[in-house]
Amino acid sequence: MSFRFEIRLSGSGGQGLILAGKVLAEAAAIYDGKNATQSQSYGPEARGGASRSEVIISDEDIDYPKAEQLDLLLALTQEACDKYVGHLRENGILLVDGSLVPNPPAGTFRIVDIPFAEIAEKEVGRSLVANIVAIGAITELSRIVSIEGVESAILARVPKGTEELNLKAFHAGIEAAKRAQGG
Amino acid sequence: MGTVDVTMDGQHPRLPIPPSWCVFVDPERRRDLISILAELSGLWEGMVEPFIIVGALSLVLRERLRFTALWDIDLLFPSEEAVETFADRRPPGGVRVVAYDDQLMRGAGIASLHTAWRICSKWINVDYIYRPPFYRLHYSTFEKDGPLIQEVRLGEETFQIRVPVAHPWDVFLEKIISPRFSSVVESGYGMHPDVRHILFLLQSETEQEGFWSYLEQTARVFGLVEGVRQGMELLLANRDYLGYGEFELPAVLDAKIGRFGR
Repeated sequence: MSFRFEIRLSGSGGQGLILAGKVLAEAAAIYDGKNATQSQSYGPEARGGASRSEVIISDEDIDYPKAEQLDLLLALTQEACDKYVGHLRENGILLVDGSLVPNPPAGTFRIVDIPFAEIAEKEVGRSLVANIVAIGAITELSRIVSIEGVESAILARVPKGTEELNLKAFHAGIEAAKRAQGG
Repeated sequence: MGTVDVTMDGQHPRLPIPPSWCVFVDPERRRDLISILAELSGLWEGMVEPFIIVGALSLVLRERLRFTALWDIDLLFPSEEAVETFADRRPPGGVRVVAYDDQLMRGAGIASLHTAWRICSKWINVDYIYRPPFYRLHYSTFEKDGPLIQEVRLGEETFQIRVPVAHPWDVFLEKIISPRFSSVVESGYGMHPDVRHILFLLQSETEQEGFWSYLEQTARVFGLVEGVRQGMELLLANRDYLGYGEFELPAVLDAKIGRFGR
């Protein structure tokens, strides 16, 4: 049976969401041999304001490249959460960092709260890799891209000498998602 | 400016077919990307001021970036009106275009419209961008060098590519003085494409004849000398912080920057 999995990464500029979307799409398309599209958009106010990246992954050709019913929504601002939560399909996953989204709305979806920024700071030692922690969590929660594929995509983009730091962040995200699911 | 053989209509030696940059396009998307570049080749010549391919893909086409990624096509236009006119035109036959944005997204110093194009089976992002004053910078070089001309043979098919593509030295200038560049560097975000691309260009171009004099002359014309020097100094001062302590750069780079504009 074929699948189509839609992910939206939303928040504000500077959170590394566009890059996170590219890493997920490259993991799926280049390293896992699936079909993937990745798009980005910025709020009309200014860059540095709202930021959004969408990734669609499928095992077949993708007929339409815009997300319509999200399987997973990562929201890293309350505003983004409120704006996009209605696009989540039933039984989809709303992934938030509770310190940034204090009031996630209830609905027919599953809420997973992972403190990406805190994990990046305390477990990895660099707050900047919060987006890589989020990629790890999405990898674990979606099971739509392989761990090896994402590792390869991360390694293809990070500066030489920072591989260990970034992979540590990625695996911290995977472990945090397992804990959040009680696994 | 240094000569890029492939831009010189009728004067270039026989090129490898397909060109070596094709290796850095995901094989599954290669035909789609090349097909779209071939379609774009037929769309600019009637324009008074054509779009110019800028950004990462321009560096791939000019053989400065040598790694595989899902490349987007960034088209730079001379005005917001030119973006809107292009967006409103009927797509060429066989091309499906989907707009990600409902309207032109206006931000600080930039307006953009994000779309995806498909000819074969894969969607390729094509972003329409207006970003003053950089069009003038790229256009002045395009007027001198002309479009990138390549014949690309893939299997039994041959594609004729003839499109305006930014020169890497102009891309360097655009990126180094971009308003977002200093904040990206100061944040320590070493994975940001601007940081990466500038470092790759410093690595490949620093010892190229004419690079520094071109940068300096062009920066003077556009009143950018201070901004360019400050951008380079900021980047080098934060090299370790950005995670590029092990990235090899030519030994003469510090001296070149030290003398820049003085």
